[in-house]
Amino acid sequence: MERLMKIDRRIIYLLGAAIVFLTMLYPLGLPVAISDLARQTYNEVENLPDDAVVILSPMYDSGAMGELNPMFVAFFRHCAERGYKIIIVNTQWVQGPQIVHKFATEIAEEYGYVYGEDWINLGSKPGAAIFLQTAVKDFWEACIEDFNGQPVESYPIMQLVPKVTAEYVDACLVLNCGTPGAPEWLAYVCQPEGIKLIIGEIQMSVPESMPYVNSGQYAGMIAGSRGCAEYEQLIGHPGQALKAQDTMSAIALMVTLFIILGNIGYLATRKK
Amino acid sequence: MNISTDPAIWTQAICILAVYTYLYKDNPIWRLAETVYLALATTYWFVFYFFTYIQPAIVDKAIGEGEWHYFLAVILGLMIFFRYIPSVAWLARYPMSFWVGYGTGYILSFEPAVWLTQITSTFLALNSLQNILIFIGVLSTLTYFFFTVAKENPVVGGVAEVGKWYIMIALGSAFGNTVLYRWNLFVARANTLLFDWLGVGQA
Repeated sequence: MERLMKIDRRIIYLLGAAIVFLTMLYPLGLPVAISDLARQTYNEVENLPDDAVVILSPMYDSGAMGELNPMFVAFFRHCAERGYKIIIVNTQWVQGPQIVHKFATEIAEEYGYVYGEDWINLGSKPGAAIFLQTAVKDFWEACIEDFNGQPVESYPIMQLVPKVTAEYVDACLVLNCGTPGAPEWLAYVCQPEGIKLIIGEIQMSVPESMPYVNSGQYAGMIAGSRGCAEYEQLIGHPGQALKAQDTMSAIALMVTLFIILGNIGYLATRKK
Repeated sequence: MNISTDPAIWTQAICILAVYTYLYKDNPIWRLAETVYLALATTYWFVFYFFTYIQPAIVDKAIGEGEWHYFLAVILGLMIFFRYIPSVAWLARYPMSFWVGYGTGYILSFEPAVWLTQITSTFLALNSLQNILIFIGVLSTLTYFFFTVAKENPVVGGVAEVGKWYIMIALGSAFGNTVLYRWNLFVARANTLLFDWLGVGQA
């Protein structure tokens, strides 16, 4: 029994890696049921006005792109299908807009979206809360130039949004993995201005964000990779998250088994 | 299988493998990857901060447009380095106190609205099991952190014990999600190795 308490961590890593590679090469095709939260999030985006303007903020860097890139793709695709104007901008997370630019360009081409008219990437802006507060008063002054270094006011889409207020922006879709993140968008922009805030959250922080969903401060939330898989099904475009669910289910099973084994070992040795 | 010829993909793959060698044990390949990453990140952030903070404020605004008040912020910022001169180290407290005071004021002018909504959202009608569980959880967890009444009191101690269980369940949930999140990051890297680099399943 003592051996159960001393399983070499490298065996666990090796087994985990084998499970990941095998399930990716030979998917099981397990069904993914759609939760009420995913449906609520989908409906919140779906039911925005036809001429809606949304801010899509990739508040993350390469560390979280494994989980948040599929959410960005799902949100961007859903908004493009509905014909919304999409403004990509973040603060502090410098890599975010660079990481997503490729996906945004590809999906925009697919839907015939014209850069500067239907969507724009304003890049990452320094300042965190100060940037957000400035954006509420004067969005052009806060951003100055876009991802390509052109003045923001030269683009038709930016003429629609001189300020980030409920008058000009219908929703903020924030992909969150740390600070600054969705709570800052809530405190400095969305709650004071009455703009709908919908987020994509990494698996790790889902329990932390649920109280904001329950209180209605977040109108919706894609909850981790699993939530993204559900959202991908709802928009009818299965993507990376849905593909990963077989692997994640197998890994969850493996982790559970090791927890049970460890506890059996612990209880057995404690009695001695 | 169709192995990539893109140097960027090869760089990614080699770095991923080099970093994961640490899982076996500390080794020179891992340390090389770590050092390269740190060097790149430091350079990147230095350049980023120079062009997004220092150049616009000092070169463009203060010198270029003659807005000399920007130099006040520069002086305040440079004062932090007084901590390296023991005889005048106390001067380094001024920029820190300014920053803490400014930050506190800024947060207190915006954050309470968010917190108050969180508090009021726990004022629920006790007409469902979920609402009852939330009500018990809020009261018992607060009691657990209520240190001015001795836990030897059976009522306070009992309620605090319930609160402790709520906290343990919440932490367990957070830990479980963290474990799955880490594995999910590995799945994304495995995706790069298998499909982007080795081109498995591609003609």
